[in-house]
Amino acid sequence: MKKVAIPGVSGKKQGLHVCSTCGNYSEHQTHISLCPICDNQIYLRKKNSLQKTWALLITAIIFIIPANVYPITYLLKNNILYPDTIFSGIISLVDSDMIGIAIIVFVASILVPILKIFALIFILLAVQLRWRLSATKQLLIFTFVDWIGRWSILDLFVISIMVAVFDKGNLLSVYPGIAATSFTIVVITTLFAAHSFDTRLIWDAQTLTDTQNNNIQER
Amino acid sequence: MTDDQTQNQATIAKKSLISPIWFLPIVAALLGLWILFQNITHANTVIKIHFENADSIIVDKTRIRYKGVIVGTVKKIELDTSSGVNIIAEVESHAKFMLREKTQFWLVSPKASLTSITGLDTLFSGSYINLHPGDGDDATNFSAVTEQPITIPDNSLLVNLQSENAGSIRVGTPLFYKNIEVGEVVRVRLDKSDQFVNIKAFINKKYSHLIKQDSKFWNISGLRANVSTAGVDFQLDSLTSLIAGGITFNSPHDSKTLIDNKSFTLYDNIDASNAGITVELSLNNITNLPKGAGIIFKGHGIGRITDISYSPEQQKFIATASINPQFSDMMTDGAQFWLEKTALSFAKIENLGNIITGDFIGFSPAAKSTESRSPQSSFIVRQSKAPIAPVLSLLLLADDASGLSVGNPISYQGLQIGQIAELDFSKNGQFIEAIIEIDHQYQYLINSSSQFYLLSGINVKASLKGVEVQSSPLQNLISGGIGLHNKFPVKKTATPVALNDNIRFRLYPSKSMAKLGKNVFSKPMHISLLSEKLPSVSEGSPVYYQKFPIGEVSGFEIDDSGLMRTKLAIQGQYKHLIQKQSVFWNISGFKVNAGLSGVNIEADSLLAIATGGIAVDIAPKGINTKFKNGAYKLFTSYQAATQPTKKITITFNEGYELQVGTKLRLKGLVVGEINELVLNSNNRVEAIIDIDPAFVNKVTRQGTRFWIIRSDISLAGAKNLSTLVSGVYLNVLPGKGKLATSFKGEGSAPVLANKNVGLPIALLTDNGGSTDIGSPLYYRQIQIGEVIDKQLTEDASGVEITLNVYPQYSHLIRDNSIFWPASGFNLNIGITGASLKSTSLASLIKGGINMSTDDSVGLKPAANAFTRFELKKEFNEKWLTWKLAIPKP
Repeated sequence: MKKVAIPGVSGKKQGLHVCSTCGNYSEHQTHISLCPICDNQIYLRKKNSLQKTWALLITAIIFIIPANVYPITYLLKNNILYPDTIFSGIISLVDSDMIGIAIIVFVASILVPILKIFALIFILLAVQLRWRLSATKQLLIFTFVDWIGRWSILDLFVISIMVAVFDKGNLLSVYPGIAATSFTIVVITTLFAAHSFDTRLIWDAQTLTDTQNNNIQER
Repeated sequence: MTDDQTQNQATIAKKSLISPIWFLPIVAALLGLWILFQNITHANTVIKIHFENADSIIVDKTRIRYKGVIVGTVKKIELDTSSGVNIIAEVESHAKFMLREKTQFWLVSPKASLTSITGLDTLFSGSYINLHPGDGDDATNFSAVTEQPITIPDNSLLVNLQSENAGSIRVGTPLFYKNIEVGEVVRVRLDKSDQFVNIKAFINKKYSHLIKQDSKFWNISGLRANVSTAGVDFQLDSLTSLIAGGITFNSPHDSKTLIDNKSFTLYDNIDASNAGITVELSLNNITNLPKGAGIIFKGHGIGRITDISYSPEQQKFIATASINPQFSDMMTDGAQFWLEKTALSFAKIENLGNIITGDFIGFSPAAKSTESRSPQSSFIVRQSKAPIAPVLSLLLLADDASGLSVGNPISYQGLQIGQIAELDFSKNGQFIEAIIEIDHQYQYLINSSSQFYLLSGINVKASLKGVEVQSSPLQNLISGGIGLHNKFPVKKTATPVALNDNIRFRLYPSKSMAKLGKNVFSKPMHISLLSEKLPSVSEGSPVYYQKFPIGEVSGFEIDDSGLMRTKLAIQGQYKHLIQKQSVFWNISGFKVNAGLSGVNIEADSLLAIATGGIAVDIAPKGINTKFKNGAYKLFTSYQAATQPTKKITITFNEGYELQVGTKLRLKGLVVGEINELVLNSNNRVEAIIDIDPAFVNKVTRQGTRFWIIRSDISLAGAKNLSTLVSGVYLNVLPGKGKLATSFKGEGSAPVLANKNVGLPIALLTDNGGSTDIGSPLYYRQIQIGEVIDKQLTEDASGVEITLNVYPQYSHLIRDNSIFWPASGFNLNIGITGASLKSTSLASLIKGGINMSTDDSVGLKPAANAFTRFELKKEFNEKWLTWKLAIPKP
């Protein structure tokens, strides 16, 4: 009963879809939305993939501003509150001759989130506007973004540890600031944005431009 | 393709749905907008403050504070083109309203001075710029002030003072009222005329009512020495004022409240202020009391004597004193003044400084009471400090005043409850009168049965147990004192007993005397004793009644008759113990009883050992204790006095180890002892024995037997080993005849003397064999008796062994009983082999006799005493098989 999948041709064209849970492919039927093998929901493509990615990405873009402008930590030393933004922290690291750490923090906390956002925007635009770019290169960028994204959480780890460790009341304490929350939102939303993007759309976009103008752009 | 199309159409249908995920960026956008709005509306204001220098100001670290709240941060420091520096600071929007033209800024950095340490927090947190809001229009350019502006607590009262010179007054100098800090000097400036110093001070709001129209201020700064002919007078107020100076003031009660902004004069001292109130003090003498002497209340000078004059009418000195008005309300009736003199004694050193400065006058206000005291302005100065609370004055009569001095404590169970106030002779000169004062809270301890005694320093009790030294606290040791003794414990809740006005207490020489009671003071009773020899007592030796000292030996004399007369003084309270029938005896020295159990030393008392002593008791009736002339006899012992011992004579063949002092014992009790040993004409030993009177009737009867107990060691056992150590003694077995004085003693225990007197029987045998005195008699291997004698028969044809059968077994001996020696072992050697028979190991060693009774002929009658049996030589096995049932009689 099972159709034999032909390699090199997209599953969509063959009327096949792959279950994201068990990995088996089955024939696509409009009225059936459950995987015949494992009984989980099955889609031809991720539902509203582009929409979701865009929405999450925009949220990330909004929150990345306060994350960088507002203080991420408050250091209470001798009863005086010293607020620190991400950037001022990096600068003070540079000032105290810890350039190596400064670079790591800069990459993880500033560069990576921004790059991630730009990379995702680029891929999304490429899919939607059907720029004829190399699909493999786009995938490479996406894979990189997906991989690097988790490292941005490093900063938050450091903050949470500092808050827990430096708790000596008025003498020495660390409190998280607004930026910490904002930054967390940025990291999470970008992670989810990357996750909600269906990489197969890259190929869909390329093949669709070849064959016909269809509504794929709307997805 | 149609498939694709339908599929695509289905997708189109879904397309119209907008994913709810868009909610997220919308909320984010709103949040962003809100933050942006906040940022714009709460933008920091940038201000510029001009400072002389930028010491300890750090960019981004130095804050601007208002009342401790951080309102801004220094952002930049730039040099001013003219002079100084400009600080660019950001002030948070919520503090913007304080940025007015007259707003002041100054740098707060740690400052430590003698009176205060301020800005201590800045040591850690760094300096900060303080802001004090002012009036005027909004401004952003300021010039910092060099020092903290006068900060006056809200609603506090400002006073202006004028002074000749600033003295030690400076900003921060406290203002005191009755030594309580009520305000602070905030400004010290030279007057425009350059003649005065203007001092501005504030009074805290809650104290502002203290300042009145006629208030007087004076300087109490530091230590002031007043050097005069009377000495040097140091005056010192609070330590703060010593260091930082201080201003104090006084306001008359009736003065009006302060109305206008009046300027007060600041006087140099209280005297200059003329604020003191005047009191008159009358004194008996003014030795060493200089003019200007201080009046001290709890160590605090509250005034001084300004003038001393003599009043011929009152024949007293009248000292006029000026009292610090702060204490004016204490000058009421009931307040006390007294002369504080230097006290230099072993007990204490007080007011040593007075030697240099002269005496001063102590003061204590009237005790608190519900009724209000009326003010008073003339007082009598007492010679010594009087207790503040109403004291209980008591009069004690003492024989002499040794160990007493004024001020000595009265203590009850070690706690001081009062002191001696006065010592004087009584009117008739016979006693010393001590007036003591008992503190108020201890008055309940005194009742009419209370007794007072002299606290002597050390009480040494020496006994054989050791020496016990009891000493009262060192203070008493040195200074003595008086102790209180109550026969019955007094409850704390007890209300003080109303005492008779003219009650007199006696001062007992010691606590033990106090316990004895008043009779201690009755006159002693003199009696004299006559004896042949002077007793080994000395003057002062105690006289005991039942070991309790009741008097002492007061002297010796030789009587006309040649007898020695010993005079005794019996303490008055024991008079009744001396009666016609009293008997006196000498108790000097020890009595040593040495026995196997150890050495027992009996001494009447250590004092008796050391000094000898005389005991007195009531003699039983019928004993003459007096000479015809009425004097008492002095006996050598109580026994000698009451029960003259009876002498008996016992004649022994051999003296053995008898010696004078050898005891005579009855069932172990000593009933007498050998007084003399003589060899009589018959070449026998005669022991003259003193018999204890108590036993005379029992021991000195005809039929009584005496024998010597010596140690006896043999194979059969050791007997009376104790005599090896303690020496031999005489044992006595009382008889029942008439009283006699002469007896015959035996060298060893008589046969019948055995305690377990039972059935004596005699055994006849050819020779004594291994049986010996003490050898057992066995029946079925159970000892039922023992050999008590072994002698040749009268005709020497054999040996007669006397056995004593224990009473409980005497019925076992029947007429047909058979006896055979159980001694040693029995060896039978036959064809079958050798058989060795032995009775018990004890019999193997000690020897013994076996008994059995034939059962074949029935039960024969029980044997009578001294029945003679034959001791079989040969043993027959058959005898052991007899099983005769012998019923108990």
